[in-house]
Amino acid sequence: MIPLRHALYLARRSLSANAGRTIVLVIGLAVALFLPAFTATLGQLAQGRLLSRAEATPILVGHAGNEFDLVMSSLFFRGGVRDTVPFAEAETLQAKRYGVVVPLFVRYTAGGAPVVGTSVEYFDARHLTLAKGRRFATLGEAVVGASVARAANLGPGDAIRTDATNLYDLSGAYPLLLRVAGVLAPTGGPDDDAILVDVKTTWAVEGLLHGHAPVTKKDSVVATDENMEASLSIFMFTEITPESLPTFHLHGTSADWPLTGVLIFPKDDRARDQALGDLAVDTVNQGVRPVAVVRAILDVVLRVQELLAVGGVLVVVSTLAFVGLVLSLSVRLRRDEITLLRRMGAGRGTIAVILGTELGVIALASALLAFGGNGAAARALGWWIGI
Amino acid sequence: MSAVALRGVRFAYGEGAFALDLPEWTVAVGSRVGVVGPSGCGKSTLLGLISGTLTPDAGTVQVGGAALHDMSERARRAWRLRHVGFVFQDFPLVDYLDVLDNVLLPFRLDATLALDDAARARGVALLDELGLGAYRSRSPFHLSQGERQRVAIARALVTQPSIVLADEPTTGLDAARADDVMALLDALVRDRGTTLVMVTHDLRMQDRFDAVLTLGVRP
Repeated sequence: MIPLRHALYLARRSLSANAGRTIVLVIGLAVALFLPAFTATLGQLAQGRLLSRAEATPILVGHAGNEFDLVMSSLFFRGGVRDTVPFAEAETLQAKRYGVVVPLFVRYTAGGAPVVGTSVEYFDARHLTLAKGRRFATLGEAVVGASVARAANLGPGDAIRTDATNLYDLSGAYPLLLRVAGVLAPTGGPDDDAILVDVKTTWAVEGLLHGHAPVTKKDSVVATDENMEASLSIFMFTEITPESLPTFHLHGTSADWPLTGVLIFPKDDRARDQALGDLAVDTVNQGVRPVAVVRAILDVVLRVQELLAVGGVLVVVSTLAFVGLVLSLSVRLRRDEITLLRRMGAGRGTIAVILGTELGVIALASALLAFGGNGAAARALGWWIGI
Repeated sequence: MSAVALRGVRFAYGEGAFALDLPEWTVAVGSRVGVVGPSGCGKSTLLGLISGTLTPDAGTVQVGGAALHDMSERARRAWRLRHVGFVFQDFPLVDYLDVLDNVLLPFRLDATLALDDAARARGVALLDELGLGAYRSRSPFHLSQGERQRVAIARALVTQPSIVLADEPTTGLDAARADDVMALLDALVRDRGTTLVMVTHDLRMQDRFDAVLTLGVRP
């Protein structure tokens, strides 16, 4: 029988002499292997990240309604919720001493990144650490996620303005300049792509909390001895500075201000069960276990993935048919060579080893390309999808 | 001892098909023997029997002391690689190997033939002897027909076979080129004491052989 090193040598020479055919075969086979492998890997990656985020969030409270929207908004900062819960609900939950209660208001973006209004308790509850700077301390300060900082080249002392949502509505809220107080260390999760601010800062972006130049009778449309209603000509501050900070004020009571969600990190299992039990009878708000919601989402994803897997199998089968056709044509083209080897004394086994080694080298190169590419692409896309 | 000894050999390609009958035929060691006859008389069949690619239906085939009729197919293949050099009619080469690799090809086909420094040196020396020393790294694509013939002859001799079997190597060549090929083979086997059995129907070659076996078509 032919020694393997000689079979490999002949395979190498044959493949390099027919480089064009070899490249087509390797790429064709690699693509066929890559597609289903990548779909599966990406699915597993997404499932793993979605589940780990959900498992790290025991209870989520929001306005009764679509629980999927609530989870996507509050855990992954994607999409939004239609109805909000009043800040008083968070205070009520806090008063019941279930554990750590963290308010969330996620509606605006800055440079395309979600601006997450929350409290400093969020950092401890999510085990977030800072790569640079410090946590937000005053109105208008922000802590940016690692990916946001890298993409926008932000660091402590820099500033980023919230995105305009009402360009043609002069009476609406204006973009607010956020000062970067710190940068989060990478987490591999949605916090990398977020900008964390105090919830009051997001209310300022919402326009509920604002600062403006002093209102005089000249600027007012309605003026009494006790009250004045400013006209639209009044200058609104779009940046919170030590000078403008004292002018920021609210209208109404903070208890009515909106939250898109409230996270509860119960102190123990009993507190968790108690909270879920209390929320189960609440007719206005809902308390959900994010892990259950994410599993429901994943059930749908897995069905789609099964369909993709069938498509992947079809791609593999058609590619293998193509490779088989090319190889059979190649063997026919090499009939003279095979005849020569047979006449010289090579047995059928030797011929099979020579051709099989070539096929093995092609398969190995394709597999390395496919699975190496799969790993690299999964890493790149895992970061890109940001979950 | 004879280089080749066939006794009572009979071979047929199936029931009632063409048959080769050789009651007795021997070839002396180091001699050059021609096998001639019209097409279909069994010249190539005879080479097949001597090389062990075919086995006789009856009789014995002894080549270089090896009883081929008693050996398994696997044993005959290994024996063939070590002891027989082939020169084929169309001088086929493997196009993806360079000239030296083509010459050394027999060593890559079986583990019992060691492709060591001595074998490589022998291959290089043969190419030098045949005037192809400068071409050893070339692809066969870039060789003339005459150069390809010489590479094929070097490949037949590189394992130092005890017998070289040539299957109509001068067919299709003009007289001058056929003379060149024959002279080359003649010189190489004479220098090495190798036995040459050449099938040909080129009658011009008959004078170059020590003996000629003439086969006829059976009625």
